[in-house]
Amino acid sequence: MILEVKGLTKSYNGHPAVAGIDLEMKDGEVFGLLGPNGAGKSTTISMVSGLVKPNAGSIRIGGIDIFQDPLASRRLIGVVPQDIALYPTLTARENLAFWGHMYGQSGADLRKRVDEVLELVGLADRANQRIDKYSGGMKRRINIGAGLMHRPKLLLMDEPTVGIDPQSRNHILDTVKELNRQGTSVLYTSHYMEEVEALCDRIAIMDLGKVMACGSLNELRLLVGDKDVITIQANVPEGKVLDDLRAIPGVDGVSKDDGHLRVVAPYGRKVLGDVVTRLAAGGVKVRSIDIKEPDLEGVFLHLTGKALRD
Amino acid sequence: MKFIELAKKDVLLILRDRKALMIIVIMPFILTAILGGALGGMFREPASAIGGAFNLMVANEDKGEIGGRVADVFASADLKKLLTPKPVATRDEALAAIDKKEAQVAVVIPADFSARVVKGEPAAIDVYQHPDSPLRGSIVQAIATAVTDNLSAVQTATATGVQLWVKGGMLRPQDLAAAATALAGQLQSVGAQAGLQQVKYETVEPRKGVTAFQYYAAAMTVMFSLFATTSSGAKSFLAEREDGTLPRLLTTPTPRWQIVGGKLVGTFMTAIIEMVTLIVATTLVFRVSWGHSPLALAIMVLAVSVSSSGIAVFIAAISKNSKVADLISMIFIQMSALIGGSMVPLSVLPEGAKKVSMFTFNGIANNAFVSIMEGQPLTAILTPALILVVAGLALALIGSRRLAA
Repeated sequence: MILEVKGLTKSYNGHPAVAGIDLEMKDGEVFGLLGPNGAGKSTTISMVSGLVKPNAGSIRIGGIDIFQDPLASRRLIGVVPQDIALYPTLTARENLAFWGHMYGQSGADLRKRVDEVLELVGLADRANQRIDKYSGGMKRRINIGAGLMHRPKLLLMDEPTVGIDPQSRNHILDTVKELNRQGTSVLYTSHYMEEVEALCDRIAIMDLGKVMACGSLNELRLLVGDKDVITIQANVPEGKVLDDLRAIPGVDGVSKDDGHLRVVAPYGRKVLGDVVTRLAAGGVKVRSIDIKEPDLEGVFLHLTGKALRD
Repeated sequence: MKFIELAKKDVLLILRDRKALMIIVIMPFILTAILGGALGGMFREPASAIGGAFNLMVANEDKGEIGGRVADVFASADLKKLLTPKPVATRDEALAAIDKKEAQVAVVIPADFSARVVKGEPAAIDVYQHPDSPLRGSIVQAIATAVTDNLSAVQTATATGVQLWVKGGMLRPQDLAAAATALAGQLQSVGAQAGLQQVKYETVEPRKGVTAFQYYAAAMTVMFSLFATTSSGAKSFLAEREDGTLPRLLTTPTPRWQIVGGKLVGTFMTAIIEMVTLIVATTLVFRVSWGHSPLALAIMVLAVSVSSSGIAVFIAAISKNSKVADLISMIFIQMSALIGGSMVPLSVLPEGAKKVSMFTFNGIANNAFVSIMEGQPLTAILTPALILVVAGLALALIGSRRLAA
């Protein structure tokens, strides 16, 4: 196991941020932590990287207890924080070299690794430009590169694609796949289910500081059973219309975000008529309707009764 | 060592920060120019300002023999290279010449000068100087003092001799005045032959003093070393925390002492760069003399850098964020600069304020740099250097322990 977490607990002012979670991550795995904001993902990553001391529990990285031998465990991990943690007036090459030094690299090995990482993140041609001249996506790529300098066995990535353009996001996802292909294990947190679905071998769904479910995508889908997810493209106001939909017999859950309404039901086609009727009665204009197998959003909805981005 | 890389990175960040460079290098340079130029009258004239001989108005209102001899002193061959006497008839003419800047200094021998000397009464020579020429004025003052001291000796001898003649019945009372004048003149001649009228120039200035440019070059270098370390050094500690690079550093296999040590060394290097840059720049541009002891200068640069770095680390340790650090730094720097004589020269401060200034960072450092500029021996700066280093290390230790926790 590259990562073993047991009974990990952290509270702030009496409010549990992480409430006794257990996680196990195999060598070479891409493991996703999925959950809405405030679910406890970043606190978990902060404890695994040694920045936050837990109230209880143990963390072992590559078999090393991170509290007993912190320096040895830190050599095994690379951390990509959620916010850009670089020096804006240094060039990309200078930033990478500095972080390489902090991981104990020097000389020709360091210079070679800087070039490799610049190639990997696709910024070799902009290496000598100060990063305060970079776009947000380019900065994020160097932010990832800084965590890769020492060829870590385990890469901790905390929401690495927040606030960037689709092109940079795709580049980052491709980089994670390439790293994994080279043998790096990745712990990846996100509240974008599409990213987690596309990248992760196994996924832990977190909410309110707890792991609600853990497994591969297919294993998680099984939790929903053979229920259908009806996805309706429509702008639905909060309040009575949603309450009316939840009251339909045979509907297990209803959620909405960004112009999409999701209804989980064992037999989607049976309840579809009632759903459309109540939307029409509420004055909601429906643009499209789709019935399909549950995705992670559906799994989350099934487990918590709310949407990932609620 | 990782702390060296951390320090190198911090120095590079400062060198790339135009705003910081403006504050720590350009600002003190401009302030030295402004203050050094504007407040020159409060300081000694540079030796170069004396140049060749300067004009001295000599108004001899005395018709007596002694007054004439005094006037002759200022026209003697010994003083030819130093001053050019311009005889005028009256005090008013002499003062008008100073007003018109035809001369920088004037000597007036009052009308009753000879009579007073003969009678054994106090007699004074009046010296006037233009406010821009304190050094020239003090030179003439010293010559006049030497002359009057000489005359005092003549006076005493005359009085004693005349009294002895009267007592011994060798002189009638009605011939007393004529005999005294003759004797005084004789003694003057003897005195002149014996060299009594020679002026000792080394007694003009017991302490050399510094020019305004020298003083403010030192004062601004010291004051802005604090800006360099507090606004850049202290802020950099907190900026790392606020920008997320400190948490990232803490996830690397770098011990905390190396992180704090690196920041400390970076701050120290910043102070050294600031001081050396200003010393070189003021030497080249303003022709400021920083003394003739590179060793003493190096010791003080190191001592001031250690001390200002310690202050910066301490401020970083007691500040919640960079804004609070900025505020504390500004208050500390302004107070220390004001009390320590970085703004107004210590010489014009009241005695009490002068004593208090010797307990401030700026006061101790300024005074030590001035001592080097005056050419005082190395031992003169060892105590202030030791105080600065000990205080700096103590503050750095307290601050570092808190930051590393």
